[in-house]
Amino acid sequence: MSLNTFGAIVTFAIDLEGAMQRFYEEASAVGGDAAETFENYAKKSAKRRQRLIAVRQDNVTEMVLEPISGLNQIDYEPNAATPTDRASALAEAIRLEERAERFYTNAGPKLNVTEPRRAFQKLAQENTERLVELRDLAR
Amino acid sequence: MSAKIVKNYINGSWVASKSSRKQPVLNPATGETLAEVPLSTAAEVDRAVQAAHEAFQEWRTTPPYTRARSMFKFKNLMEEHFEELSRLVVQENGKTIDEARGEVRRSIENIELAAGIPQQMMGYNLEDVAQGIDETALRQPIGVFAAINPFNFPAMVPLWFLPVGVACGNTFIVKPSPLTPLSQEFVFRLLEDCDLPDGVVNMINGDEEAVNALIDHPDVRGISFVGSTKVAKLVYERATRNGKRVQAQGGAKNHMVVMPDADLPKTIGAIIGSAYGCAGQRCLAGSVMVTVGDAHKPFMEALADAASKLRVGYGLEETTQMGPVVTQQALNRVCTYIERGQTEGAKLVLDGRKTQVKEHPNGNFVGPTIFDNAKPGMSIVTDEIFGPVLSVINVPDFESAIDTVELSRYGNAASIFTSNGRYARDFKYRVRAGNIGVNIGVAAPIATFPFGGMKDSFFGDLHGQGPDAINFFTDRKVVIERWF
Repeated sequence: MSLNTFGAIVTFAIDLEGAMQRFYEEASAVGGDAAETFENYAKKSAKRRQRLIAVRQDNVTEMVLEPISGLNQIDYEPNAATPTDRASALAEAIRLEERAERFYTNAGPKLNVTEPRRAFQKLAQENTERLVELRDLAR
Repeated sequence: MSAKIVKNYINGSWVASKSSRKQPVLNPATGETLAEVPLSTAAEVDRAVQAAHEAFQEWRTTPPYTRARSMFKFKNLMEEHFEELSRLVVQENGKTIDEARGEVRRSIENIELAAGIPQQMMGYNLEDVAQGIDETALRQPIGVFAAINPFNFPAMVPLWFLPVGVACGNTFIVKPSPLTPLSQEFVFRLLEDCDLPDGVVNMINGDEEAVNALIDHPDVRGISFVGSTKVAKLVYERATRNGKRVQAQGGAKNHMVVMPDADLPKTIGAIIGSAYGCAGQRCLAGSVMVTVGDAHKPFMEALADAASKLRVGYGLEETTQMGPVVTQQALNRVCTYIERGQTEGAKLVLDGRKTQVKEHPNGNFVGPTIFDNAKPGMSIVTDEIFGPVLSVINVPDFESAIDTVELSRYGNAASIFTSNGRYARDFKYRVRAGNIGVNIGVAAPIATFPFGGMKDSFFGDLHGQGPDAINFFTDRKVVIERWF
């Protein structure tokens, strides 16, 4: 399905962060020495979700509601696999973070309001930082 | 199970109406009965007015800072229940969830304006206007005000008036549209938690009987109205005859001029949002596009393509881009105008009557509709259809475009799309419309600006919102003093 409205994009992002939070909570249970990192990420994903809810609430006005195209939900669905051990948790985390980073990078410019666009940029940047940390742990 | 019956809110209590007349509140997308709303009697209106009149005596002595704090509480409660209220607006009105969120955001902006009342109500003075004599101009609240509201923005429009009216020290009665009363019922449940004394805010559900009772009541000092021009004029005439101050916002037929130098993709996006947002059911909807010269062909093609791709459906689904119209009667009226447009000789480029939403067969759906080769004088150009129908007129030059816009009896909004500052300046200087958009399809003023309207789109002197609202809800008193 096409993410064709402001609300569809931001709501997808809210759901995405919810899925990430749940994944990281599961990953922290099997993560070994990476457990603390996963726990922090779960907390941060919860905060990111709240930030997105505020973005959706604070920034939608009539003046800027226009149809959006070129963003397909299926390309960004997390479909997180349940992690069974440290290795699978890290591999899945990297996959999810890459997907999320791609979503925020591609979706941000489609939002024609500055604050949500800036929020998406920041979220993408945080994903990039997480990827560096995760790849380091995976070595 | 029978549907719940909406109650009135009078003097701090929820009161079941004793009226024998009721009507259903329907979900425009599904046809489901959400509730029943009573059509209150004149006696019930009188009780609400009396409660508001008595409450005024104490409320007007409450310091503005205290009154403003109620507005801060109100704002916080609206933010806390933002999504819940937005979803309710969708269910009773039919607009999309993003449109509903936008409406709730605008509602909150008006409460934020009211929270600044201590600054906004301040007067001014001058010492020694003559030796030893000082002069002061101050603002005072007036008494009981009432707002008569439309279906299309059931959460927002009452809040154009109530927050500022109450923060200024007046007391208030809201009469929601009987088509969409549930949003205000929800808002009043939040107002219950704002520590307002009983009687300061009241809500009466009803139709013409309740409206006439409010307009005729000697203790109601002012009326705010939003609706059709026909009713706005009637309300204005009757209420002013009864000595009240009145602001009555009527209908619209907003024109959007597209110059050849307009940015095509951005203009199309704005026009789509203007013509089809809220399924065309708003006083700021653009419903006539005036293309100038060579702009016509590329813009028509792009417009038809974009409009045909809009996803029509139930507003609670995030990917829906346009919802239904509010009632079956509204749907029938829109379809009648589409037939008329064809009979009048306009070319039907996109026929919204062909739109089907299989998941919701009982919904009042009509899709985006476009007429080309429309001409001034056709009913699809002169009449407010209040649905997703856009008529396109092509004119040779800018002056012809201005002439075409000025033919309309309405003057609510008008837009120009251009990259040329001179055309933009000329347009905003000369066009008689209260809300002008330059490269903007929906010229909706934020709360700190007055919501304009000229010609048959507005009756009265002071508009809603902004400084006009402060002036409407207060009286000016001048005090000249000398001490021996």
